[in-house]
Amino acid sequence: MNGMREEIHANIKPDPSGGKTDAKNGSRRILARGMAAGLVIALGLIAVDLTRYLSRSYLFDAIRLGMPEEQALVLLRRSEVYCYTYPTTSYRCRFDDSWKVYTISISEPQHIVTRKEFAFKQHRSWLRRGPPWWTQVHR
Amino acid sequence: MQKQLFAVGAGTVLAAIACAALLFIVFSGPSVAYRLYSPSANLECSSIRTGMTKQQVFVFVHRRTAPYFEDSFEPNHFSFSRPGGTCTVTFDSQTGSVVGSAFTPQTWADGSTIREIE
Repeated sequence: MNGMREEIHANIKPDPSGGKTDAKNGSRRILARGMAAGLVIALGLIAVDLTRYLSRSYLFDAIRLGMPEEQALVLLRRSEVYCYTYPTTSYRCRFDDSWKVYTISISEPQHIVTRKEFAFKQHRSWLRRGPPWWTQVHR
Repeated sequence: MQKQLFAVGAGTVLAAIACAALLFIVFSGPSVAYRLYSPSANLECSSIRTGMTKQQVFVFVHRRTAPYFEDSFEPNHFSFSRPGGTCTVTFDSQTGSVVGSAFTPQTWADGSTIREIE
């Protein structure tokens, strides 16, 4: 048993810089952990912000045809959607998310929701954007 | 050395394919799913019968499984659009019951059945 201990002690080389290397490694570890924690928190905050914009179809579904203007406006304002007026008999509230553009029309004389529409956003990939710029002839 | 270069090249190509597939799923997935799974407007239109009340039509409309591209309501007309066409329901101005419904096939400017804007 004693012989084994001696062997172990013989294999451990003394650190010429003493505890400095340990301290360096420790601070690096703390720095790495801090960076990882910061990254996770930042990603979390971005995700929270993104999910609000990611899909607003819940709002579009919540607003029904024939719904009173006031009730619809409360729902829209709660989701930070503001409407613009046309000099016509109805005004429109337009909002979008990552995939769709939604329009809600409210009739002025009747004060109810009279039209709901949406369209998918066209995400043209770079593969479909036409010929590359270096092949285009500028005149 | 040649093997390593080949591995790097193949890896890059596979990564590019994976990226393109991911972008397609993220950006075009919802419209493809909508096209595939939204019920036919023609079928929905034919299930609105003459004599139904406005309330019954609204109940039917709100039971929908996917949102309409467009649904609008005027005192004597109600219309809704799905990929492929629009259904227009006409109400009697006095009784408020359904007088008739008509389906109009429709494609968008680019020939697609999906309504898209740039």
